[in-house]
Amino acid sequence: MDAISATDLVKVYGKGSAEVRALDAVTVALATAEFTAIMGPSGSGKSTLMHCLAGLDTATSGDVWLADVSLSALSDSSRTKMRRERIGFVFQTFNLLGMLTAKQNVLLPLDLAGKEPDWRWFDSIVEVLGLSSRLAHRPAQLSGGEQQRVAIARALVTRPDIVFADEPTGNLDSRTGGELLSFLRTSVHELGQTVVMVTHDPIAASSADRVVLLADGRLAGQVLHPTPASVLAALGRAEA
Amino acid sequence: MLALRIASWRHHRRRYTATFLAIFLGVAFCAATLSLTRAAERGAGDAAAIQFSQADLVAFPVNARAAELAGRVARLPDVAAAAAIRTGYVGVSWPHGQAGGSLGISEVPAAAGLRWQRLAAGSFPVASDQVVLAADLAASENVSVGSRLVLGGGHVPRRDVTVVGLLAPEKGADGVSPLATRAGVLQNWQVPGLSVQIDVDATPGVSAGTLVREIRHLAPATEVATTDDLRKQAVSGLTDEVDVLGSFLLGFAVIALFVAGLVSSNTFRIVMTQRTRDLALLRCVGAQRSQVFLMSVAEAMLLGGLAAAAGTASGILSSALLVTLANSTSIPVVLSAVTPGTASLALPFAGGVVVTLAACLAPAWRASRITPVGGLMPEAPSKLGGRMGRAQLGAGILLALTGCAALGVGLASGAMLPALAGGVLTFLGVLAVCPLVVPATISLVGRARRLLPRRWQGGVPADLALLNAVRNPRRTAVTTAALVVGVTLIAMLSVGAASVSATESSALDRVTPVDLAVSGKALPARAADQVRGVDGVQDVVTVAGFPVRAGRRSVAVGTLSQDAAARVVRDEALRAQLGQPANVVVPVSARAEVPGGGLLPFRLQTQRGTVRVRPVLSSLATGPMLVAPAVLERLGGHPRPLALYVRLSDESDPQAVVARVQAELRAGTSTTPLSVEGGYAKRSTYDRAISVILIVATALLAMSVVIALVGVANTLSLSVLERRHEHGLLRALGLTPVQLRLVLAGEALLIAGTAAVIGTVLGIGYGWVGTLTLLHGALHQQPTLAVPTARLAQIVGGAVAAGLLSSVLPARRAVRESPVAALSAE
Repeated sequence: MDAISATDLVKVYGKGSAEVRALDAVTVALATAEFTAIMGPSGSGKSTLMHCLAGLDTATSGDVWLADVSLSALSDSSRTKMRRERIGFVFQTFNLLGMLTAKQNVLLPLDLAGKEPDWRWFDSIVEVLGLSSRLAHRPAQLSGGEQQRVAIARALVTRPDIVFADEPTGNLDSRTGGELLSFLRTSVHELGQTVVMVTHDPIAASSADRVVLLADGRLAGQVLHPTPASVLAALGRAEA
Repeated sequence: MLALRIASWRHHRRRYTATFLAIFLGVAFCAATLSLTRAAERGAGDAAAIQFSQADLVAFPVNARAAELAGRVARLPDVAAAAAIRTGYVGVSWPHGQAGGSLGISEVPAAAGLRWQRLAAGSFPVASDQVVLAADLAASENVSVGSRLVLGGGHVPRRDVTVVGLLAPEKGADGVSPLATRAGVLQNWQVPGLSVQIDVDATPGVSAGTLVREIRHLAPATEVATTDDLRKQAVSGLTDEVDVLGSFLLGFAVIALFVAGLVSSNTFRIVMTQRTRDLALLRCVGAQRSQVFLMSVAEAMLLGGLAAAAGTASGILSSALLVTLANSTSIPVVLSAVTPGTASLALPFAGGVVVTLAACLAPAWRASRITPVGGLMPEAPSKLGGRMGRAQLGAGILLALTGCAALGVGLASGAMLPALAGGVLTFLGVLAVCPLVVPATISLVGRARRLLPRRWQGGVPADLALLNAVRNPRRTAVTTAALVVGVTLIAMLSVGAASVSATESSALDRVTPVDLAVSGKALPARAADQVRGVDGVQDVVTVAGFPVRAGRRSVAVGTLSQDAAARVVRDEALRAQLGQPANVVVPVSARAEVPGGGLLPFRLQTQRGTVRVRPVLSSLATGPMLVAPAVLERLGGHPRPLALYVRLSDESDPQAVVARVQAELRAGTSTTPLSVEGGYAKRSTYDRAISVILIVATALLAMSVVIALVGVANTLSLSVLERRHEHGLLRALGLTPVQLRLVLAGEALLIAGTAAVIGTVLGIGYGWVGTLTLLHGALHQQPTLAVPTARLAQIVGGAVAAGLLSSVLPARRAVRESPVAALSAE
């Protein structure tokens, strides 16, 4: 079953001669409990695709189905509620609110929805991510890797249908980045979480189960069970 | 550098909108105030000096020599015309026989060049039996052109005159005689006490000064003055009140400018902080510290200059509009046309520029201290402390303590000046410690919130609002301080007015314990019902009793139960005395009838019994003597109505009610007239004067509140710009647009609420200290300190509501931003 799917997604920025088609009739379906990477060079539309899939942005035409709900039919408020209940996010930067502690940051989506946390779930995520001793700290007191792990905990705490990660390793060194990717894999394979990651890094992409390639706003093929080499090769073909 | 300055200014102009608005409003208010004061001053002067308006100079000779001197002056080569004009008072009888009392009469100069009077109808008098009359008086006395009047009476021989013209009314010219006849006539009428002046018109080209010397030469003992001097004298005589008004208004203008300064300094500070990266980059590419400093100052001055210029222009335009409006109505204030003079143009403009300069210096200095690498560091959370912070706190506490001492001196001595200085000092002290007080207050609110049931705590939006509000303590504090100024002053005036009013009113209660007393020899039984039916009467109590012997006289003695007294008697002390069985309360009208002069106890006697009573002299005007109900019972007899005590409803117009009561009683009674007396008139004038002053002052202070609210909106929108990423992240994580609006509304609510609370507390304190100082020794009684709860609640509610309103625009901008754009924007 598909966790999320898009049909004929078009996103146009600007008007007239300044018109840019960031997405051009993209149709894609992402399976439940799968780790998908969306890859492409800069300007290929991969971030736009993620924003549209996640309901952060609205498409010019086409539709996004989150399981059985069409996002294009929803108002801003309903989309926001959908986001906080069914979607989790991990961003490259600006991930945490500096005035809140790590624990408060993790619990923020539940607080926003006015829901009681499931503490056993919370404890197990914190345990898996190795954050138990860091919960009372503020972001400024955490390392970059720790900050990103807090962000992953926050994305998982609501048990979302799907987690989107936008260049999650972009600001980390390669070792910390590798650890982070293994956390994401763990959450997919052990916790059954659906994860979609946008990246331009072939090594990061090769941690995924499937890589979807984008070029000039169109789908440019996919790689199953990727390795860095196969991703690079596919990327070369897509750009050609 | 200029290109850079302009580019930077254009780039940041949205951030400067509020500063522009604050300075603009402050300067416009200042300019309008100045021009209105000037217009009022000149208007008053012109009106007072209208009799001299056509002459160049005036001589004041002794009466007997006036005509001869006028002739000699007229023959001088430098004189175009001269006329001796007499003024005096004469009795008037109107055409239908009714006597009009004594009216001022003057003369119309024969030379048209000297005539200042304007005709509304008819012509000027040419014969000795012709007069002109003020048109408004003619209308009220039913006199028209052609009517015949009789002047004179008493020692003045009567003479018939014809009204040949009506004088157009001159607004504000109170001293002008309503009657005038031909020049040279009055001295033949044997009117006593005539005063005389010689109006002189100079030949064109001759200066008044030269002519004054020539006339002094001609008649050395005569006083001669140019009309310009006379006008100035008239103005200075009249404008004591205008000066008071002027400094009163100017005070409010200064307050408005001060608040505008607070708002601007806060804005500059925030903008400089937000531009730390840009400025550091400038320093990286080689800008000197001094260049950064000068650039920042120049930017501020460009803004301040434009705002001040626009404010001055708008202020003068709006005051011109106000003058036109005021002069087209019948209000008895004369305002001359607004002419933009140097002072009214330069002062507000300079004020605005100086305030901007003062506001931008410290932020510009801070900006110039940014190191080239400083901007590349992550933004450190702004904390209080540091040398500047501690110095400011210390200075604030010192100011407050000095101020308290001065307030104490004022309280003890009743001197206004130390009290005023103390007020200003303590207030500045409080403003200086605001960065400490405000965040503490807000944190307290946050902790207090935890005591509420969970669903009333407001959830995440309230959490975020609380955190945001204390994130930049200084920013929040200064924003709050600007609002505290206006709220404090308004609360202070309300508390002061209420206290003065309560003090006056309790003094009045004692002097006039009953609003209205109706009494008479034969009070009809139905009078009580008649009076009760009159519109504006709240309650009526009948005082019943009968004649009793006291010494050798027969006096009327009545009673008033405690319950009845509570309904109509305002003076608490008197109510208590009425309840004492040993007392007899003696109204003023009955004092003469008391045996022993009212000092010693005496006996009240009837056939049925005798009671020994102690007289209590009260300030009740009329009616019977009053004893407790039990005393009257012991004296036996058949009580019948002796007097009515009436309580008027507070919102009624007392004069009108009294007239209605009198009319009602007159209609119902054919026998002896009844007396209707009371303390209504005094009470109503006091209260009305105080409430008018309060309304005007509040309206004027509202300007500083408006400017402060611009500041609140500004701080919020600058914070919105600063927190774009954060808001984007929160929106992505599921903060709904409504919740985001609530976050900002909550922050505004905290700022405005804190300001309202601090302002109200300070206002109550200042109001009380002010009242005590003002009334120190002025009244022989303890001042009553009042807290006008309803009004204070209105002030707090108003400030909070306005604060919420000021969050609407920033919130709209925040909500409009798409989370994607906010997250990806640099």
